[in-house]
Amino acid sequence: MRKSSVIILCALTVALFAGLVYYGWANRWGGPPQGGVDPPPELAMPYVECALALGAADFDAAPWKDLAPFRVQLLHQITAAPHATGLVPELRVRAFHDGKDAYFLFEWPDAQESREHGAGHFPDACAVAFSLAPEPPKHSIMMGFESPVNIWQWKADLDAQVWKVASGESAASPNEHYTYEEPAAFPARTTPPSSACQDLISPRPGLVTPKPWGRIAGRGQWRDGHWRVILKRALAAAPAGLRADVQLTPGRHYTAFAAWNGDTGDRGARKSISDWVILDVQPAAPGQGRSASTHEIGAEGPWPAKHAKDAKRAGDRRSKIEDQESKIPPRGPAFSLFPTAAAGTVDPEPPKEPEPRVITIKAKRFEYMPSEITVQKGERITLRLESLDVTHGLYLDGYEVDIKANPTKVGVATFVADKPGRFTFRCSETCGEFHPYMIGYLMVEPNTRFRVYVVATIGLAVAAAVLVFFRTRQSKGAAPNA
Amino acid sequence: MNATKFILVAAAVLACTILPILATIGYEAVRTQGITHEVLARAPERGNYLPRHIKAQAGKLVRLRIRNVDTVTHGFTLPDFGIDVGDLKAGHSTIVEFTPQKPGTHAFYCTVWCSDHHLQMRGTVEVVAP
Amino acid sequence: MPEERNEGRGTSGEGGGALPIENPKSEIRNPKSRGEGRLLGLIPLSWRYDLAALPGVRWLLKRRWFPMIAILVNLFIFMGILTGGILGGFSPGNYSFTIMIVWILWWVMLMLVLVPVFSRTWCMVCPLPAFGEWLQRLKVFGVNNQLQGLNLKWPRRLRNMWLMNFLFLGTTFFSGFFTVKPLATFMLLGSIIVLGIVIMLIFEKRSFCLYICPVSGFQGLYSNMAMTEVRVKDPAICAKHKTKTCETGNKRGYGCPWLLEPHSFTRNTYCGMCLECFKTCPFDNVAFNLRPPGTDLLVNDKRGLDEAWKGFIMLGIAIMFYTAMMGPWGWLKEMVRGATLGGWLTFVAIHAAFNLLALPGVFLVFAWLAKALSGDRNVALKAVFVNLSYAMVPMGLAAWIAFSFGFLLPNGSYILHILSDPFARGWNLIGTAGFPWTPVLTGWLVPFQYVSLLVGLVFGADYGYKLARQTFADERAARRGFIPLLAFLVLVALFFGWLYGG
Repeated sequence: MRKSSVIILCALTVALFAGLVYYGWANRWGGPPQGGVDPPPELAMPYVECALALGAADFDAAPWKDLAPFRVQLLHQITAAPHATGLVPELRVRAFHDGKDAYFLFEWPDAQESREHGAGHFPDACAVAFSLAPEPPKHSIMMGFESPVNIWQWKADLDAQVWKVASGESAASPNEHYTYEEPAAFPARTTPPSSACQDLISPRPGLVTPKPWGRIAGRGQWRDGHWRVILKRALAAAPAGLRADVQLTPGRHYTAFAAWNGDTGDRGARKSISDWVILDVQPAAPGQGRSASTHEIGAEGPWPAKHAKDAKRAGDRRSKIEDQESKIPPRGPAFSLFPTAAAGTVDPEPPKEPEPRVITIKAKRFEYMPSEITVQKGERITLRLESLDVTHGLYLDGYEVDIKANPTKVGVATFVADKPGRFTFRCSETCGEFHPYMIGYLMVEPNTRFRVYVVATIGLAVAAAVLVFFRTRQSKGAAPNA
Repeated sequence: MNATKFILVAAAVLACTILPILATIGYEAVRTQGITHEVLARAPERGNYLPRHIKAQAGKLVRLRIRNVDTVTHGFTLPDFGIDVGDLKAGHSTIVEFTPQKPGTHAFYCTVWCSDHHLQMRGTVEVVAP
Repeated sequence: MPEERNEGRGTSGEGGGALPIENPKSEIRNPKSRGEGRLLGLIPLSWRYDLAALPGVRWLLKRRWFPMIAILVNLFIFMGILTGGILGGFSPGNYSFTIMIVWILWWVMLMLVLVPVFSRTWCMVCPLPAFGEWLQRLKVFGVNNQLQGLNLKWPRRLRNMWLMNFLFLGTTFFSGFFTVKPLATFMLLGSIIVLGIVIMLIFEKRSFCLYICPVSGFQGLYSNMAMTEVRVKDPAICAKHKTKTCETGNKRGYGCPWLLEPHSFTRNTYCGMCLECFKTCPFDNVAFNLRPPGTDLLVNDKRGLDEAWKGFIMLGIAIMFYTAMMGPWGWLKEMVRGATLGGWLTFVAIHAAFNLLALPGVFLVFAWLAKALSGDRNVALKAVFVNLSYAMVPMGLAAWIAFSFGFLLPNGSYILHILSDPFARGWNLIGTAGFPWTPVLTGWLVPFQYVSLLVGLVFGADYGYKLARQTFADERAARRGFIPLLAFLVLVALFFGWLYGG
């Protein structure tokens, strides 16, 4: 074969391979891998010199006419199945501030005005949530685990009481926080609410706490199959350092919206939600100062210590209630609200003897935290698997444990660590490329197997040394085999 | 080497080199004969659904295969047609059918935690008049 | 009936005096003399049983179409692997035919069965060089001793394992990619095929397989531990055979493509078991022997630092891979999978330094101790280092077998899925597509691994002492020089035991 033929053959081979690699690379995700992530849209909040007192005529105030509506696409939530209860497909939002207070107008279609709780129907509501994290949230709102949000929620039933809208039912309605599954029994309020809106803080999905003071004023009007709701709050909430209130300083704020269509069964986590929107608060015109709003509703003051402790205790109690079928309320997005205050929590089960030791393992791609756990032989262990990003599993070698978790569902299993030794637990739900290597170790002390192995190893070595030294000595002097 | 032997050897070599490739392509083509549309499920940062916008004709059956080529579990729901496939695990695929009657636009989206940008994992089915 | 075989020089024996360690090819031994010594005190090192004496075996080994027919079958499977790699892209490896067959089925078979038992039988049926070899021969089954291509001789300086050492180590830098991404495995295997074709068109015969293929390096060293071998039955017959057709080829077959002298070679390291010598020998003087495991470790033929380093690299890779992939340390996994370039480069640096410098460095200390304790002043440190490093072969193989259990038992069940749905398109060829992920006996994983390590320790100690007997001047020196080696083996065994289950 001539050199030229060799060169041609080699070149052809390499070219064919390179072509195949290129094709494979271009289609590594089955097709073009770009263009799937959209940047968040921007909603402007300009300065308009106009103060509204939330009278009935304010729905047609001049600023609303001048501002173009910003259309926020709302989506089904995925916290609770079925997902597709009545979707509110779109919210039209207008926003402005007058240097002192921020105003929002929400508009959305709703065939049925729902202002009460009843069997299977709930009040309509809408809300806006502001991220309290100092830097832009890295994840979409569903993943805002580490960033608390401040939620301004307007509810039609509160609105009815505050603004005395006659819709046929008694004025005494409970001021409950939203339930998740069943309408629980609520203590009836004796005093009417002071605001149609609740001011809530959610440190992370699954926990929502109302603030004892209400700073947010709101009013809603239903007409011809549409809701219009105005929300108002001071731009700068005092005290500023509390970090439970969003400070709407000029600049970009990560915001999201939600709407509840009560007659289709929306309440709590069942709602229509939006992805992040960037609220661009534009600076006030020069000369206009900003002062604390005088429109304070309700008591003001620092976060009461007692209330904070109650909230914490309620939260701790919840973590002991979970059972293996994960009937616990899922951890959902920021708007997923569960009762954390004293009212409405479920009583804990009577403790079993002995109480299992609860070990919480957080899972993210591709490690567990903690990834090495030590327990004593005979201990009763409850493993709680929490996922920080996608669905993960935990399969424990040697024990009958295989649990799954995703950001909305915690996996739990209880077992007795009766086998000593080191056991690997590994991820059992494909979670990414390194899924097969997502591993942790459970050490059940004492690690007898390893100790036996060490003894065996050293024993064999000693035996080898002994054999070498003594057996060969015996055969010394024997004639070598022919 | 006589002709028979040559043919036999050539057949053996082809059977073990080209045949598996052709068989794969052919078998897949036969299996997907009835499929009218295929959607690849990928997390938004890896390209989102492909294609994100499906065109269908009113009155014509849509047999849609959703194939998860990603390394995480995805979902697919098309609520206007009552379709929800639940968990579609990585490396798996599923087939759904529906027949749109009227022109319109319908949204489908992912129902499983799959990525930071999960909420953006959605697309549309656009039904046009026949 | 089993026939005793000449073992060649370099076997251990009882009695005084150092054992000769010159090149055994300088003497053809008396066929009647036996190799000395027993493995584990039980099995004579010289025991051989010619499997070709079984009915039908020799007939099969002499067919022109064998092993090519097996190569063709493997080629069929390989086409599936390559197709799966291109179609699979970055889709999950556990549902990919490519990843599962290559890294679970084939790799585990190699470690657990093919190499420890059958020596380089994989090379016998490997499809990777098939295209290159067909281009050289311009024939598939037939014989054409006028080989095409440039037929250059492989450079003398590279006729050792060094190139393979670096290539194999270099390949492992990317294991965070090709063990999980089908396209990456396609790129790896495709590169080997393409490089094979290119090298085989330029250099003679199986130079690629001998000196470049990464798999060849590891098989080359570890086949010394195997329980089979290809050797001549009776060297006296070969001594009288002038033309040595096993080397030159004849119309029945090719001259040894692995560039050996089949009539007198003494170690498995460079024999790819292609079976051409069975076809070319006019006296049927070639045997496919069953033998006690590891006898080649005692044969001094091309021993060198390259093979010592291969032993350390295999040991070191087992440690690094297990720590990174099977350990609980997420930050290490981030580095291995290249989450950041800096992290990956750090891993590469640590991996290379550990394998090429740290581990051999530690062994050097023990080798020095062995020489010092032995009291033998005339032995070269290099000889001690090289010879005793072969005791790492059984230990390394045992560590790899234990490691293989670590991913076979949890993940082997995926193979049932990919046999039905190889390309993740919803196929169900044999009805097992719905088979769920089912770890098998993983509660017993650690005990399996411990047993494997202990067996490795036993063989390592046995051969270690025999190697010491070969190296040092006399029995007394060997006994004392053996102790540091034993200590090193114990440390390695304890370390792996801690890594795998402590």
